[in-house]
Amino acid sequence: MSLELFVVRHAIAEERSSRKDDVARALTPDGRERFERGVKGLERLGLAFDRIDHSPWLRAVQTAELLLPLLDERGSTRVCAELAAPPSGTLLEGLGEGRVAVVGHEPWLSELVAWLVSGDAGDGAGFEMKKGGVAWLEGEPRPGAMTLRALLPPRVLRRLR
Amino acid sequence: MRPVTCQEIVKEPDRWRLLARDANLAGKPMSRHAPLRPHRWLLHLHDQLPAAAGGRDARAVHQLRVAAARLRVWLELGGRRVLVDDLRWLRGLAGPVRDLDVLLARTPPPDWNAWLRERRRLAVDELKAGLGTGRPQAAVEALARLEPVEAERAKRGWARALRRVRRRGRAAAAEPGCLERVHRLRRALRSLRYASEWLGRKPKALRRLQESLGELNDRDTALRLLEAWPAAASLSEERERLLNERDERHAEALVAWRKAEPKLEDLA
Repeated sequence: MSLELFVVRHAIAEERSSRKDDVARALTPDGRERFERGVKGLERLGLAFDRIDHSPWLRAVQTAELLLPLLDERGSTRVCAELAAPPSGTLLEGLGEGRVAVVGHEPWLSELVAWLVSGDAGDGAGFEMKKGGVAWLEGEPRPGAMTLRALLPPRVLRRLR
Repeated sequence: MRPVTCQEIVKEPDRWRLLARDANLAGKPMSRHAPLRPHRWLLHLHDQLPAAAGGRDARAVHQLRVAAARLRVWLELGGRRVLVDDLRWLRGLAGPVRDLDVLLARTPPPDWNAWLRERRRLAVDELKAGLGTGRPQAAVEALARLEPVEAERAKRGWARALRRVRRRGRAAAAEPGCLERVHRLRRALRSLRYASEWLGRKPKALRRLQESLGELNDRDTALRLLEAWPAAASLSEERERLLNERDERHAEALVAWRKAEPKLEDLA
């Protein structure tokens, strides 16, 4: 079972505030605009996803919507509660195969990348992901069985020509 | 009263259920220009999940499908694509149970009936397994956090739904022997009806047309389930009866469509 996994951190969202529930923070106009440029960079790499999984939090849902130009016409999206929590076996079991993007939050995404690449989620600090950044992995979706093909910071994605 | 957010409803459904009679909470726009809020149907979906997961409550299974379809149309009116597949999945998960409930309500012959009941039991197991994952609740929570749909945007979405119905209607009329084209028209009509209702309209004639096509679908599903029964040969008369009924409904549906097409915009 071979999987190309694109781990995507949500785009820049509203600041944390005591007045607003963290899960309901929306993307800022600037965050949207920057991420859309990043998506164009991914398009230039010729990428297309079979599926986009995303956390139920608003900023991840909105980021998934912006990723849609990369979704294959027969592709699908899926809301995934496990992407709003530390990485778990349930999350890995649901990844399947093909080209899949997952949109979520830090520090859990870095931990997911570390877990899949090194087998230890505790190594997450070594895979820091900026907002709108993408980690590209390939292999089998089990701990230590994936190879990191690229860690693409948002600035690099926006500059891809 | 201050505006109520969907998040509050999902967190405290019992408290907000009491207020659901308020027009603003009923998912109806307060004026032609007010944004469309999904509160009523989100709450409805949220409420059906436990009973539907039990599998015994046929009404909850049906209403789960209705709420999912209505919320999907709400997303489409807002030009949104994400979460559409989750609602489609939810509706599809409950579909086999609903199909069997419709057929069992018509009291089919005893042997077939027993097979259908066993098949329903298996379909309920699948429904339970799906509803037991975190996906339905995650979908409800994600939907609750979305912004309302602006009325002007929704009207453009409604116009798209109308165009789709016309396109599918023309395709069905062009090939009258093709049942699948009529099914595609029925699904488009359902979306248009829900889109109209989101905009506060009451498209009674459209609803009747959709129901007429629904009757055809019920007969077609019954036939499909009869043909899947290993002992179907023992019910050749029943099969003949269903075939005739289906063909009659098919012809009626096409006549109803041709009659409705010229005034479709008024009906919707």
